Amino acid sequence: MTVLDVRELRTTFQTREGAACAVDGVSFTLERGRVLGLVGESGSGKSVTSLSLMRLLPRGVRVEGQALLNGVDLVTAADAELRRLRGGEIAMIFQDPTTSLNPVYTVGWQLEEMIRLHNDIPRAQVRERARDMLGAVGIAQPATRLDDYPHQFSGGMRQRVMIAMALANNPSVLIADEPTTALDVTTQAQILVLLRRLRAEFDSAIMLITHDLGVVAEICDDVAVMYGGRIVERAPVDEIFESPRHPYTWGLLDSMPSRATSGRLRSIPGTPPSLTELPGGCRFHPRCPVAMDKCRTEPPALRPEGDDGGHLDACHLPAERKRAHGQGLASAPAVSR
Amino acid sequence: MSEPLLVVEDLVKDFPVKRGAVFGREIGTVRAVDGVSFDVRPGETLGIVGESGCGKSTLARCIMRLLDVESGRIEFEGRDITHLSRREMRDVRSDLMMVFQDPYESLNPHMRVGDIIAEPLENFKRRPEGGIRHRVEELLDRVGLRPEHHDRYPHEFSGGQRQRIGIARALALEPKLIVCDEPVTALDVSVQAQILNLLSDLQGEFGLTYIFIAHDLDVVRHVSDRICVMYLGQITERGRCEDVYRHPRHPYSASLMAAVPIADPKLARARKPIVLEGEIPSPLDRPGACRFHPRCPRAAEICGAEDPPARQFEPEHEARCYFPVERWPLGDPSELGSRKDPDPAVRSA
Repeated sequence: MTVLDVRELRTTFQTREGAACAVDGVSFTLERGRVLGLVGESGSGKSVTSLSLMRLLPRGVRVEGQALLNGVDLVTAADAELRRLRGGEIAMIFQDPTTSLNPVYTVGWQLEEMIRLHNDIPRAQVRERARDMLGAVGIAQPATRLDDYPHQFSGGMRQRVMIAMALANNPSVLIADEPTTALDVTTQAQILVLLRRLRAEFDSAIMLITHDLGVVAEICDDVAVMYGGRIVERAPVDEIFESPRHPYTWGLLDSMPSRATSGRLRSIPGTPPSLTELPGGCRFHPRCPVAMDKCRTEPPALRPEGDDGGHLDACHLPAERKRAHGQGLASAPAVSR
Repeated sequence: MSEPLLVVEDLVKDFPVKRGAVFGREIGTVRAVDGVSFDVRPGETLGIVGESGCGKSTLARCIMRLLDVESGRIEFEGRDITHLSRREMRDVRSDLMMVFQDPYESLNPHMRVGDIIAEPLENFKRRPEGGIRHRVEELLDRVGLRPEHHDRYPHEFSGGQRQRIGIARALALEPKLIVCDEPVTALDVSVQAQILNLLSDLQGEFGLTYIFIAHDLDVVRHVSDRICVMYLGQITERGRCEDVYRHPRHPYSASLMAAVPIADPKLARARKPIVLEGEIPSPLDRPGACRFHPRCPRAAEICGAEDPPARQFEPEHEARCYFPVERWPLGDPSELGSRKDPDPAVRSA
């Protein structure tokens, strides 16, 4: 069931060098109980997409398009409506758990505030709910830990608290922006297991923003690859890894040391473009190994190949070329661990 | 086997812990590096891998003599450099260079790129053939930048390009050993791959030796000939890269490898995750004996009582553990918790 329907989202910043279109006509849907991975490098627009949906961008940033959350358009919603939705229907987890908790309030106070703001229930019940949430995210002795301050928690534990806060009101949509990037690998594994369990328990739709394709493979059902503010490929997770169609997706996969078959990595030449000087046509063409004349002038539309409606890509290459490369990759043995 | 380029023996580094904002009273010490020994052979890449707080960056700074050590020895080309004065270190400095993690912090924003790269040449009064500018342009070209970048400032460059500048600076004096401390951590995946390729090209071309420090196991596996796994200031396992990755023996290395996400959704779904309990303890209250025992699924009484000895497996492959992992991959994650060896403490009783 679709809970969030994003259509032609466009976010424009005014900078001294002119308008910068950080998100340029992005469309996708989030489904109940499924995880969509939004993947891209720095400047691809993945974080701005989430901030646009949460309406957390400063005034003066123009957001256009439509984002329907259970019938309410997030793009045009009034402030009062947004306050009701944020933390209620739609919640967010940020990358850095150290800076996103307030150091001068106890964890319990912050968690209870989240519950109090959205529910008219007695104090004792609020406390009880906060305790249950801490327990649900795997924090031992939740009743006593409620009275601790954020600095008394480790990084991984703080991220658990953030997740408890985000899920406190059972949101329809959970946006997780690089939730494990700041964590050590063993802690990351714990948080991924937790998110997987909570997805089943809470049945929220999750949008996971990450640069790490390993994390995507571990937890996502669907993937949208972003480059230069646009989605260049969107498909179920198995398809992205087995038959990627967009040359940028090929490059991302080839750049991973764990998928390398020989000593050299097949990297993507050049660097991601700056938002104020985005290339015309296909945004990827200056770095693309198979760019054609058409790519320099005509932006390719995100569309399915034939009747496979679940796998979309924005590339001018003929279908056989995309398929041929995709299969070449799939035959490369993955590293066993 | 050739003589090692660098030998580190039983290195120990403490940091004071202070209380009080103004007259910081010393209330104890934290042991960041705790008896580390290894050697590095000419032309190889030694990977050092571990999670935050394991002491890998402190170790790098000790080797570079940016920090003084409590005890132990650092030998470079057969010469003991552990206690050399700053002046005496000058002879060695030009052979021993470092590439830092953060290309935003490690380049002086007020200096032109050309001057940043030329600085080591000036400091060591080198007069390269064709002049300093010529040499700098040659270095720029070698690391994939253009000669006209000479007069630009660091802020005009992307993260990957800045890391190239850092590498050019490290190459300027034609060093023998480069210590790379998390050189690709701050970079995007596609750019990370470029820098890894560049480092490997330079190694082939100039016969460089690297100590490559990182927390990313896939990256370390890709670049290293041999690796050391660190936990709370100690090396828990070491060996030839492929031996350690094919069959990690220490339960910590094993759980670390099992925690790395697999970039293949089908394998990832099929795999049952091994999830370690808890997190790395603060070095302030470091557990005794085996540092890992409070989190270890196969710990026995002896693990908390006596330091485990190093056990040898393949040549050069050793792990400090009483109950090394018997087989890999595990048939079931619970296997990590069930050891076949009897507890030596119980056996001797």
